[in-house]
Amino acid sequence: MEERAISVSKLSTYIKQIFEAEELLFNIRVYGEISGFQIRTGIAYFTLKDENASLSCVCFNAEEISEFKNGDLVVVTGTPRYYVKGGKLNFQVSSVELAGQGILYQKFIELKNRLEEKGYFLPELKKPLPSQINRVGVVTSPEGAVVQDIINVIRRRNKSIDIIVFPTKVQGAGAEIEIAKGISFFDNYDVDVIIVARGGGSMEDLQPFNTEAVADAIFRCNKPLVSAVGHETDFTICDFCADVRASTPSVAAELVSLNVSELKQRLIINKERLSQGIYKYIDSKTDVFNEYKAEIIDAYDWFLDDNIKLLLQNKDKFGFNSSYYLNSIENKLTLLNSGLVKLNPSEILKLGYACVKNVNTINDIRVGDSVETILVDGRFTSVVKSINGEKNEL
Amino acid sequence: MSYKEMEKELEKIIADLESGEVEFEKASALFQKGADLVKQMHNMLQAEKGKVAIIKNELGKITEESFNA
Repeated sequence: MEERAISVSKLSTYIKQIFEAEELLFNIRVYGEISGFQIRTGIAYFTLKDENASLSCVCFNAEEISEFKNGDLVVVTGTPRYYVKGGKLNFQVSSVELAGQGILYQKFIELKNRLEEKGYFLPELKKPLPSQINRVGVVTSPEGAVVQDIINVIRRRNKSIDIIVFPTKVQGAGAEIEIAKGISFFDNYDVDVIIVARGGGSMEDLQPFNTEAVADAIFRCNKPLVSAVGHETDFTICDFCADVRASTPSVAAELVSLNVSELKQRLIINKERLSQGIYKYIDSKTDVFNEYKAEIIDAYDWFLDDNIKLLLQNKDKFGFNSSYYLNSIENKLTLLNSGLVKLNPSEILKLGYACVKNVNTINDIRVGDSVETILVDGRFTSVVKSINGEKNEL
Repeated sequence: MSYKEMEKELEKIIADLESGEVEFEKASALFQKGADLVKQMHNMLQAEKGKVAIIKNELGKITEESFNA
């Protein structure tokens, strides 16, 4: 038996050499779940396992894989090493990366960071939704609940809006190309706003909305664009690039449609307020006018009262006596009247004088002229027999 | 002017009238403008039903066809 036995050292060394000689095992990629992860003196130790086996791993660049933890599904790159002294196989790890979902997420983060640096997400580039929306372009699958939800919500709120659907795949190979094409189409078509929508799904399902093709199409789009992709908690590159992110397709439909019923109610209220407003305005002005009117009347009354008082106060000062004044005027009139009476020709005739009509001097008559003479009680006509030009003795 | 813009204008007119701080001639004009806006907005809300269509591209020719989801 001893002649056919080899030493432990020889066997261990042989095993080591087998591993070291097998090129297929150099830098091989192995998929599994991390467990027992720990770092000691700058070296990371963990076990990579699946349902049926486990593999001890060691990484001498612990700081490069420090973010990984137990439970992570990873792909490790390395080479198996057999340690003769301890008789153990270790997988010497050179790099670790997340597997499956993890890889997608990593790529998502890389793309997001890259696009952010290029300015794709700048707030100042976000376009506001138009205040008047008559036509909505929807980039989505023509089948399924999403398109139906969008149509139903818009119709319920505002039946006058046109809804135009650009049919696309929303997952799988080539979907991102169709989605980008739909966005570009509506950018040059008669719509007021664009909705890009799909329902919830896994990260793989949503992958077309996390591509540079869709990001570029949205970035170049001149029309306002609403992104409604996935569940409420999903955030895609499409969401970050869009002008508005809606948590669900129904919310997107609400954002682009005014609720006509609410508007009608508000209009009725505003119409009533307008009527009440003008009445209130007139009332306010009437009150002001009445105040001014009262003030004017008060002021005028005060003015009159004061001036009347002033007059009454001063009438004695200036000897103002109405009776005396009237009496003096009457006396004056009486005097004037008596003067006038005396100057009345009738009164002169009563004194015995006669008046020869139209004869003021003897030059006015000749012998033989007929003259009319007026007495107080009548008149007669006589003929001039002679004219005496002597001075009147009277 | 969009419906929202009209509504905003109408509410401003109402606020001005309610404040009572405008001249009488202007108040009269504002009320008339408000009444005109109400009428226009009412007509806008009576608009006819819009269409639901899907884009068809047949040999480069783009058309809108009636769509029943």
